[in-house]
Parts: sequence; C-alpha cells; structure tokens
Amino acid sequence: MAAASDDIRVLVDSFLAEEKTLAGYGDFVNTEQPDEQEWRRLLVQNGEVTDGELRVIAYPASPKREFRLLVLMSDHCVTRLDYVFDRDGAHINDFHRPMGYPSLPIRKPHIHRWDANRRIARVDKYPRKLLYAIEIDDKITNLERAFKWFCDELRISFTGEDVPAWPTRRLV
Amino acid sequence: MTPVEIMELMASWPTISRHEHGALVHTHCLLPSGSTVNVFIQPSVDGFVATDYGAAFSEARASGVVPDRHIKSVRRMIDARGLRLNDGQIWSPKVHRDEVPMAAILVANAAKDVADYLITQDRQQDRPDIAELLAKILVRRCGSRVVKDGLSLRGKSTKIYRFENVIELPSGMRAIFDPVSHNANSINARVVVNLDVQGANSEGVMPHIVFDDRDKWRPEEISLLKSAGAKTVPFSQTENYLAKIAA
Repeated sequence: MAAASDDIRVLVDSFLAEEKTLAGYGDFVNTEQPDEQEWRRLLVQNGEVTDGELRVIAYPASPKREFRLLVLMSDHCVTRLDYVFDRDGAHINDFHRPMGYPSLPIRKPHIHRWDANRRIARVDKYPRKLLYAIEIDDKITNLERAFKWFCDELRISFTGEDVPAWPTRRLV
Repeated sequence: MTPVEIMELMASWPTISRHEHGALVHTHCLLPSGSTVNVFIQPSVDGFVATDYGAAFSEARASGVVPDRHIKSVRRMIDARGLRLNDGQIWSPKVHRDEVPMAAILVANAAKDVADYLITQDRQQDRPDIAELLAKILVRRCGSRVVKDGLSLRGKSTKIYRFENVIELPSGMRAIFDPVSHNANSINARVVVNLDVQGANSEGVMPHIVFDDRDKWRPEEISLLKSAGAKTVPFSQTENYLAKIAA
C-alpha cells in the first residue's frame, strides 16, 4: 500500500485545501485550436512554486463569451468550471453520481469539483475525466465573476491585477 | 457605424507628411510615453531607406535613461532584425520601392521595442540587486545558520560551482538559494548550473532557485526554472518559505 504522501488523492486534497497564490503573470495567447485562447499561471504554496496551475481557456468569438477555468496538478485537471452553453452539448452525470448531483442533463455553466470526482482517482492515477458536475450560481455571468468565485472556492489568493480581462479576438 | 465608415476612419491613419528630402510616416506604434513612432523615409541611391531618426533613444533619454549603457544589447536587438544602429538612430537597409512600407513597419516596431527595452532595463538597474537582497534576508531570518563562506559543489560535468547564499537547516541539510534575474542569460545560466549540480546527486544539499518576481515572469519561464530540479521560490515569498523550512 502506498504511503499517504504518495497517494495522489491525498496530495490533491491537501493541495486544494491549503492557501495558494499565483506566480508570475499571465496573458492570453492563442492555442492550436482556432478561436481559442489560453491564460496560465503557476500556483505557489508555502512559498514554493508547485506543479499546480490555474488555467483559463477562452473562446473570444463566442457570442456568449464562453470560457473554462481549470486547476491542474502535474498537467492533470483536478477541478474545472465550464462556462459554456452550446459548445459541449448537455452534461450528464451517470448513475454513480454523488448525492445531490442532478440526474437531468445540465445545459448551463457548471463546475466539476474535485470532491465529486475524487472517487474516480486511484492511489497512483489522476482521473482521466472529471465525470460529475453541478450547475453554478446564475449570478456568475462573466469571466471576472467566475474567476473570483473560482479562486475563492479553491483558496487561491489574487489581486485585481491578476484577474484576466476578456481576450480580444484571435491574435495575429 | 457601417463597415465602410470604419474603413474610412482607419484609412486616415497612419498619416504621412511630406518633407524636403522624403516623407514622414506617423505609424501605429506607441512609445512608452504614449507618443507614436515617426519613421522618416528618404530616397537613396537605387532605393530607399527608413529611419526612426533617433526617436527610440530620445524617448529613453526623456525618461532619464542613458542609452549608451545598454548599447551592446540594443545593437544585438537591431542586428537581429536586419536593421542597423548608427549614432543612436535605427536605420533600415536600402530597400526597393515595393518594400518601403515593410521597412517603415520594421523600423517603427524596432524603435518601440528598443525604447521599451531601454526603459525597462534601466528600471531594473536602479533597484537593489536580488542577490544582495536575498543575502540580507537570509542573515536576518537565519542568522548564525548562514554558511559564511558559501558552498562549492561539483556538477555531473565535474565543473565546480560556487554558491554564496547557503543556510544550514535544523536537519543538517544545507539549503542553497540561487538567485535568478528576469533575463535570458541569467535564466539559462542558472538552469544549466542547477541541472549539472542535480545530476551529481550531492548528498545533504537542498537546492533552490529564487526568481526575482519584481518582474513579470511568464508561466513557461517559471516552468523552465522548475525543470532544473531545484525547488523554485518567488523572491517575494522567500521569508515565508524560510519560516517554513528553517523553523
């Protein structure tokens, strides 16, 4: 049996529970996908830059200004907020969904929390997908609000300067 | 506003004015002060040349910068773009008439980048060096645990490196704090040194790279530091970090 500190689930629990700050600065840059831009910041915990990262993926041309917010550890997504409407189709939680998670299709912005998806992880494996999601508050209607809410939820400290502005259309 | 109206509005910019020996183009490029870069284009033998007429250096001087202190780096920047620096002026090579707009764009952007560079570099030079500050923090936080003579370590390559900022931890380990500034030379050098030292698997040593986060570091730059295998600490968090490991 792996020691507690080797258990990925325990590492993620601890990482998400403790205070974090943002290292460096971020700018939106184009990705390989057309009409997609990405903003990244590495996360600092206890004064040290970690393998954790906060990432924003935005779709500048989408009429509803769609985006996603992700927290990754060692390049594996451990929490994701999808502020998307038609882009993904509906999200459906399967029959193993956690208590309180909706059985009906979700067609609105939602969050895939770690605590709901932790059960899919293994001692030595991150979940390949975060299967379970729940809708977010209707008051979260743009990137700025979502970013602030998401960071508060995940105990990531930020200043006003850290909040990314909505990106312009694809950079040339 | 219709697309045609937008096109008409934008067509009036950049503006061009005639001069005795050529034409002055008021470009889209902005200098740090907010002024646009003007590029002067004049005929030359069998072609044309474009110049900023010293606009970048004037901008820097107006901010209290002495451009000559950075002349080597600026010359490298200019050379890399196929332009040349002459008496503080940025010049294009001689171009064919079809290439005149391209020459104006290249000179304008070079002038903007040089002005940005000069002003940023000077700001960095005006402030205390990270290595000095780091040494003071180590003394203040760790006192007698600072290893006075530093530490020399042999890398895997057999090359010997000297580290100035070293403390002895309560566990007996020695923690090295290697400062890195936000410029390519410093980053590359520290990454190489730390990779080499890590490769030698020196026992009882805990290497750290402390990066100067008074500057804006991009995530990929920080990732590059991390790839050297040392613990990576933002300078602004050094005291917090020391409190954790040296307690």
